This record gives sequence, structure tokens and C-alpha cells, in this order.
Amino acid sequence: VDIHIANAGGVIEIGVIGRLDSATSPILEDEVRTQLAAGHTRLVFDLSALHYISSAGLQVLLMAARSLGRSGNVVLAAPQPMVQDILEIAGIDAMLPIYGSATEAVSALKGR
Amino acid sequence: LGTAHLDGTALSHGTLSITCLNRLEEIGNVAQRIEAFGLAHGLSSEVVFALNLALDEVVTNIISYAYVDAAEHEIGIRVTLDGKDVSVRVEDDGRAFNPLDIPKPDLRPDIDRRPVGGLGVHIVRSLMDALEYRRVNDRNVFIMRKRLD
Repeated sequence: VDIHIANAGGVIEIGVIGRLDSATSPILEDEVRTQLAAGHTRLVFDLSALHYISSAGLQVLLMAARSLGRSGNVVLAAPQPMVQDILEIAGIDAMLPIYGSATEAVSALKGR
Repeated sequence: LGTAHLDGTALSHGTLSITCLNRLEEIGNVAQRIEAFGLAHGLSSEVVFALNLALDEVVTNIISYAYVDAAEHEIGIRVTLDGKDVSVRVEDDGRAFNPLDIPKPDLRPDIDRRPVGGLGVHIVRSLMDALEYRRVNDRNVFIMRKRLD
């Protein structure tokens, strides 16, 4: 997996590229913890280039949402259809907002 | 990738055997083998994704929880394509563990109450059509079946 981080006016855009399985999810987890430790509270996970996610990857998304609780904003953007299916099976689509694109997600969070 | 034609085997039938070690880095290698098998046998990308994900969850559980020592162990995987369905058999020499004993997780959209475990097996149940566990000769045998319609 490759992780790309961008800071758009305080909204942190986390681009996740490739595969998130039990071997690679800790890489994303470290990156998310770094952003949380830096005090960031608005996170966009850009999933447009994510081809695969297992429960280990889903747990990282849940960890981010849990860490920020109700004070923070964690949203997802542009999951591919098969990743979207897994988000639905895990019930994550009902927990975290999903936007059609990272740009949309960032502008939604900028207003908060 | 065209070997299924060359050796005269029907596209809808075939077997893939993989042995992997109890290291999480093996998951990506297993996925590559499944993808090549799927391509050679004309499986849809949805079926290949489901097989990979279910296998990933099962093998990750084995690697993470089955072994009481720190030694190297082999996990045997056999994928069998049999016309109308595909089955995946996973065998390990870890302690007795039946994934089907794990209760269904609470999936209510409340982040704070959300339990950390159980998601993997829930995904396996959702993706596959039939699951079976057996303890045979001190080994765990877990079989997953998916229809190809």
C-alpha cells in the first residue's frame, strides 16, 4: 500500500493506494496516529485508488473515527465498487459519510 | 495464463494448491496466486475479490491466534473449481479453533459501542455461500464454498 498525505487548509487528505490487508494496514494505522497526534481532527480517506480492503483495513478507519469521537470528522471518498460492498457488509457506510470525490469531501469538511 | 486451454482442462474445472507460512506478509503472495488462477479460469473479478478476501480473513486469524509457539508453521490452501462452484479448503496445525463459533458482531452505527473483533468472520459469512469446520488429526480444516452463478 502507498499512503499520500495532503493538508488542505487543516483538512487532512489521506490517499490510500493499493491493498489494505493485515500485513499492510499497520502502515496506514501509523500514518493516521501521526496525524491524530499532530492534533488534526478532520480526515478525508481518499479510497479512489484502493483496490482491496480486509477487516484489518476497516479497523483502521474505525480507529480513526473512534479516536476523534463526535468532536472530529472522518469521512471517506470515492471507494471502488468492490470496496464499497465491503464497507456496506461491515456497516461502515452507516457510520461514516461517503463522498463521490476527495474534492467534495474536503470542501464538506472545510466548512466545519 | 493460457495453460488451462493448452493442457486440455476445461476452464470451469481446476485446482490450485498453495502452502504458505504463518507470516502476514504471505497474504499478498497468496492473493497473487489466486488472481492468476482466476484469470486462467475466467472467474469474474468479483469472485476473485471474494475468494481473496475470505481467504485473507481466515489465514490472518490462523496466523494471529492459532499458534501457541513462535515457530514456523505451514498453512495448506486448496482452491477447487468444480463447474458450478468454487471451494477453498484451509488446513493448519494450530490449536483447535472453529471460526463459526465467533458470534455475529454488533453492526449498529454507533462508533463507541462498536466491538473490535468479529468483523473478519462476518465478512467471510457474507461473501461465501457455505462454511464448514472440522478438527481432523489435530488439524483445523475450514472449507468455504461459493456458487458461481
